[in-house]
Amino acid sequence: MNTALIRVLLAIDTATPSRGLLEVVAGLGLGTQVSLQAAFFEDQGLLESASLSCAREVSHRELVPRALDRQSLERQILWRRETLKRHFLASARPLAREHQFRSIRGPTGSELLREAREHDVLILGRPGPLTCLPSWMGARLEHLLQSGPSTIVLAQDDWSTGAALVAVTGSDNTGDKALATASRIASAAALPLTVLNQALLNPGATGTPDQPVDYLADSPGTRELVNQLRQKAVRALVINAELAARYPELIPTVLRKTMSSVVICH
Amino acid sequence: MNTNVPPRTVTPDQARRRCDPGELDFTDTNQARELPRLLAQHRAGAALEFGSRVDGPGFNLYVLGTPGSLRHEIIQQFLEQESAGREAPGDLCYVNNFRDERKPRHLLLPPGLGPRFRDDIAGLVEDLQASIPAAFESESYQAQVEELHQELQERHKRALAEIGEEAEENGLTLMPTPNGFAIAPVRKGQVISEKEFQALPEKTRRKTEEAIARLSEKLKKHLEGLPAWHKERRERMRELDKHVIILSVGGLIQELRERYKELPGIVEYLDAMEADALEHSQQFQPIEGPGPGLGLLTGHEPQPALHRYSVNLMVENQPEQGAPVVYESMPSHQNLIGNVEHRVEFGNLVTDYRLIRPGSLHRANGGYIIVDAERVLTQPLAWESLKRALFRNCVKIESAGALLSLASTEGLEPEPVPLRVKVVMVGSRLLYYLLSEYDPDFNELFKVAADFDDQLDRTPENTALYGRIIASLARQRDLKPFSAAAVARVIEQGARYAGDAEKLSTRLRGLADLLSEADHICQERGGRQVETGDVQQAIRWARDRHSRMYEQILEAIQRNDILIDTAGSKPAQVNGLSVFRLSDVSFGLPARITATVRLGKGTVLDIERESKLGGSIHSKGVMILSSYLGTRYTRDWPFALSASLVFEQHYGGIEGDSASAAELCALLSAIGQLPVRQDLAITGSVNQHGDIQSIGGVNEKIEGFFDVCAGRGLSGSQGVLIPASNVKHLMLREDVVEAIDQGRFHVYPVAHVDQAASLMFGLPAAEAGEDGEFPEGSLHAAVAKNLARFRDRAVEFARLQNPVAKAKDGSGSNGGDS
Repeated sequence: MNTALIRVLLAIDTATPSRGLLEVVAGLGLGTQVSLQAAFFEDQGLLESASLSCAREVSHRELVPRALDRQSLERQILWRRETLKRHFLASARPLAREHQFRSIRGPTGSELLREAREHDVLILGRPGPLTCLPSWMGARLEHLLQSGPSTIVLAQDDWSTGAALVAVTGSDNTGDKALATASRIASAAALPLTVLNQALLNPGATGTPDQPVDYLADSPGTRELVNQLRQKAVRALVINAELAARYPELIPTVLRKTMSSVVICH
Repeated sequence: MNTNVPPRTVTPDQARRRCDPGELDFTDTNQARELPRLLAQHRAGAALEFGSRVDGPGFNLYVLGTPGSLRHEIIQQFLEQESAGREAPGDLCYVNNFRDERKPRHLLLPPGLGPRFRDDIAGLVEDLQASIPAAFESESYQAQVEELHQELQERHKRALAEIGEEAEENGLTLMPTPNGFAIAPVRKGQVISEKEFQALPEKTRRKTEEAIARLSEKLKKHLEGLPAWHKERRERMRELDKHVIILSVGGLIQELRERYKELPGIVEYLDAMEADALEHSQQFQPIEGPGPGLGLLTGHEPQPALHRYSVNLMVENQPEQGAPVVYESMPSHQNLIGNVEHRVEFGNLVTDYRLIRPGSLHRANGGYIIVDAERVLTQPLAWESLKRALFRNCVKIESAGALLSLASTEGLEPEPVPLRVKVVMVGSRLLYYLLSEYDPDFNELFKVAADFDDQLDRTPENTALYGRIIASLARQRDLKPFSAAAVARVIEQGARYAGDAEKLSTRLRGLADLLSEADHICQERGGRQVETGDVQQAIRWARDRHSRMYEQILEAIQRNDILIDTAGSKPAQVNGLSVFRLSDVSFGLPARITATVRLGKGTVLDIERESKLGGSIHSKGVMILSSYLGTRYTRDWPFALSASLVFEQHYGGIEGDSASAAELCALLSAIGQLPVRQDLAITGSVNQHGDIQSIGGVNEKIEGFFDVCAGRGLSGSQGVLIPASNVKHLMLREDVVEAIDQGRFHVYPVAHVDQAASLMFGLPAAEAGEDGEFPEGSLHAAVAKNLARFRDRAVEFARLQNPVAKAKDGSGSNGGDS
């Protein structure tokens, strides 16, 4: 991560809200040298599906399958883009940081990957109900982990809720980055930090001197992790990218079954 | 009485009936026994005792009397003694009506229990304020909430995942759109174009379309089911909240239920409170404040929902205090029946049961309320509201705006409170009789009249009693002790206030003021006990404070701007006496009355009347003079003159007949052409037989003439003629009495005009002899002689005016018998 100027990308598409994403920026404890860029991805695939005679849309308001209407979709995307832009600029202006709002049209997945490479921190809004899929705004998670920036935040509905932070470390040195990031976030947000061993068995990890470390009870696996995240009302789980790649089901499960956000560190 | 014997001047004892300090049963007011002041009011006291004790609808009291009698104080003192032994009424609270918050309920509690109940509920609310949010913030509750939330989310996500997986299996993708979800065919992760789709074999296309239709239907069913899932979650959340509330509230309320188990009303309220807490469990969720700025504006409170349970204690009584006695000094509609206040929130007026304020009827419930009749009647709606409350036997708080149909906004309708109160209305006699005559409700609601006497007979017993009342007044006002002599002087002033040496005034406010002023004078001189001199000085100062106009008129007389002679004799000019009343102080002054006579038809012209300055009673007096003169002197022949009477230099109105004796003297002087003594003044009314009748303000009149004479130097012959029946009213000033004692001034009681004439004219009046002629040299002879001359001239004039009669008369005379 470039400590001189941290380039942060807020990735938004038609299905993710931007509200609260700036709270994530503040909550990460990144300091003042931050350049903010919000990218609104207009999915080419979705637009193309509107020209497809067989494609169907089921809306929340009208529970009747209908063919997509390109013009109507364009209007809605435009309205949403402008709304998000207004919200972003209104929220970012008081922070007195360099900021920009851009709109990107194309295949969202590949565009997102391309943009992510140019930034140090990628913040993705609420994942929506399709979190179970291995893709994220069209980009597969493993691709993001492989070629994404040093920090990826998969933010749930409300970043500010939750009363604790959990870092998952490995038994080797793979968890050092995650622990350092978690300590920084815990300090910025004044949250107690719980350090969890990769195997959920090893209580040997240590926290930072000013943050109490509450070792979780040993747990056999992901189910226990989910239970602990729920009971402790954890705001975010901080995990190393290598560990995340090693357990591909872990992140979708956490996002689907808990209110906790996920911070992935390289 | 022999009317021809000149009257003797009154003695100093007659001029002022003194009070002997020996009549009092104490040496100073600190030694005097306390006594209820109502003792001096036998009739009113009996009525008050009856009225305050009798039960039954409409047995309220109206206390009649003149202002200044300290009726309010006396009645309050009486009622406080009367109520001391009676049972104290209960405490009154208003609480929320959870079924209909517009209609708050009242709770009646045993006396003294209200504050405890209020504090208990406040404590409960305080406990709930801490325990309910704590329960909602507990890890266990949060975990259960999150579990419910996650459960729904997971169901939703799982359903979508299933659809998404099935889509993937069929070469399709499930995409989020701004409105919902779309399903489209993909190849290598990219949505295919229409051209590519159309290039597919028909079988593949149909299969794809069928899969899209099937998945769309599944998607539709899933989305259709979402509201039901949300509803289910909400219900489970509600159940969870209820459970939390029961755990937090149940125990605390049960404790209070046990404490107040003897009071069904309170237990019922606690039950309702618990049910409401369960019903509105969501209101107790911790809430985010609106921020410091907004909070300051709104008076934001951490848990507004809990304030619905606090108790508005309206009336608090103590078990040992007896029945309440409330004096409502401003009996407005609002002050009597209470009101509902409002507070401003964001420019809107809002209210709730905690802003209900009691009226004096609430505070007096179970006891007595004293109100001033005139104030009740002059305050808008107050009289009607008071009557309505008494007729209904309950107090219903209604806004004036609503009563007058001026406001139609929705407001509170507090439950009416049963009323059992005795109203004591204090007012004037005039108001009492007007209300009796014109308000049919009045007699139904105020059946007991307590009539305060204005005077008390000055018997030895009453004098002693009066002394103790004075002592009581002095003690009540924390004044220095008054010596018995000082009290005796105050008693004399009481007689002077009554305008009667044989009465004592019960207008105690004047006496109380006199006591305070004498006390002040005593303090100024550093005395330890108020003495006679202090009282005397206080009386003098009080008179001086009001004497500006009086002294100006006296000065005008001394400077001959107003012509009053006090020496010598002059015809047709008499010193009459009149009284001026300024505020509470009266002054007497002499007035020159003159008369003129001329040939006429037997009328006495009242110039005051003609100029519309004289009242009807004064005119009546003048007409009586005509009748007297005619009957006395011209019974058998015409009264052939016209006379005019006038109050010289008098430009205000004149009323009353107390000057008729003076006017008669002026007329007699004018007719008989006899000079009248100017060193004398006369007052008294005259009847058709010449009897002098009593008048009012005799003391002030004598003192007024005395002051004029004293200003010029008392000659020793000056004095005032008063009706003999007024002697008992004499309570003259010390300096006047002293002058009488020294023979420098005289007060002559006269019973008949003949007596007055002998003094005023220096001639005997003398009765007519058997021949009907008055003795030569008498007043009546002179008058009769001149009247006969007028008669003769009238006859002669009539002949000149009527030649036919003259001729007939002449022929008859000349012709002899015909």
